[in-house]
Amino acid sequence: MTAVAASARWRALGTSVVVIATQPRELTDAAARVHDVLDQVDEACSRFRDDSELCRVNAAGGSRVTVSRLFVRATRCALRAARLTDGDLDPTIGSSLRAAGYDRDFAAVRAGGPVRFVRAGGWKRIELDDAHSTVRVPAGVELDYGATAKALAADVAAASAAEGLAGGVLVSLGGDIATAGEPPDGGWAVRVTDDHSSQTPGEGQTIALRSGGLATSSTTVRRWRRGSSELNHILDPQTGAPAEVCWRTVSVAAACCVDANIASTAAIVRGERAADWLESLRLPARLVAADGEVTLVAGWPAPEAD
Amino acid sequence: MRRAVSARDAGLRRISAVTRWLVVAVVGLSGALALIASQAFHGRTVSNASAAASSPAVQAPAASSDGFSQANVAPTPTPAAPVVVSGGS
Repeated sequence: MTAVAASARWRALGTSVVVIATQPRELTDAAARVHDVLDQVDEACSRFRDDSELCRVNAAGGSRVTVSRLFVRATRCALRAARLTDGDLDPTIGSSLRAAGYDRDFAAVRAGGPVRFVRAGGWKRIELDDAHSTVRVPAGVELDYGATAKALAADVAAASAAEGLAGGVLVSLGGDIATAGEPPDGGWAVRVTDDHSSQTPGEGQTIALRSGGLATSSTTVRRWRRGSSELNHILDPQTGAPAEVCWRTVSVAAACCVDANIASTAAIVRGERAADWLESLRLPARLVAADGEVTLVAGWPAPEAD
Repeated sequence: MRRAVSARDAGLRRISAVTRWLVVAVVGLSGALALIASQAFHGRTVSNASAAASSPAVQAPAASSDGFSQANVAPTPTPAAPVVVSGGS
């Protein structure tokens, strides 16, 4: 076992990136590998750059598009998320986000006129040909892999960073965390709270993570106004409207960041049913209600006494 | 005399047939009721904060039936200073 030793931080995919290595001499290599993976994921899955593969598929007017293996993997991941959540996560949510006003990088989203809500296009209408690396969506259906691509990037980046290096690596993309290799003494100490970028220590809990992934979804961030409505980025695919806020923040631990993120985001959409659902899945989770009351399920630890 | 014996045998055969059908019907009905009951009343794990507090380091099973992959080891409490923050983004 080793102690946490070195970290690198920068911005990518519209959010903050943190890479931590237990062996200082490995940090430069690890960060470079993470950098490469994030560049590839951005080129494949960004909704905000016209040259991305995702935008090419959306703009193809219903034609089949040949894509990279990474995009195939991202599509498989998004479809799996839809299946596991019975459509509470839907990769065809792109047109819903656009209609709600989230039509550019979030830093550029501004308040606007009255909002209209458009339900998701329907994930079962995505045609993925894995063998021939092609994807087709009907004209008018817009993909958005925001619910899964960042977590997938974290998992791939952490695995890539740790491969062949000594010690362990943690990769955080906007607070969605993947780990690989040997953890430091006592595990990776992670603070879970509403906003990963908050500079002030807010309500939350510090836990030790020894393997796998951890993700937190929250309705307290990425909020904007349209008319008299205050919106957030987690939309219910069935309606295209922001999910009703039963839980303001949900953190989930799983074997990988993708599964943690699927569960935490779907939990926000599922509302009252989420705690029992996570318990049945045996996924340790911390759910914070709108009024701040905390519910812990499936072995998530209680906070240490002060 | 022969007619009486035949009538008796026929009666016994009818009783035997009725008994067999009754047994089959009872077994079938029991199975159907058991199936209905098993679907109506799922087994369920009840959890709350105090239960979680008493077993913070519970070893999570390797896989769940619907495809989510569970952590090998659940998170544990720690007094250490955090190295990173997980929150909404």
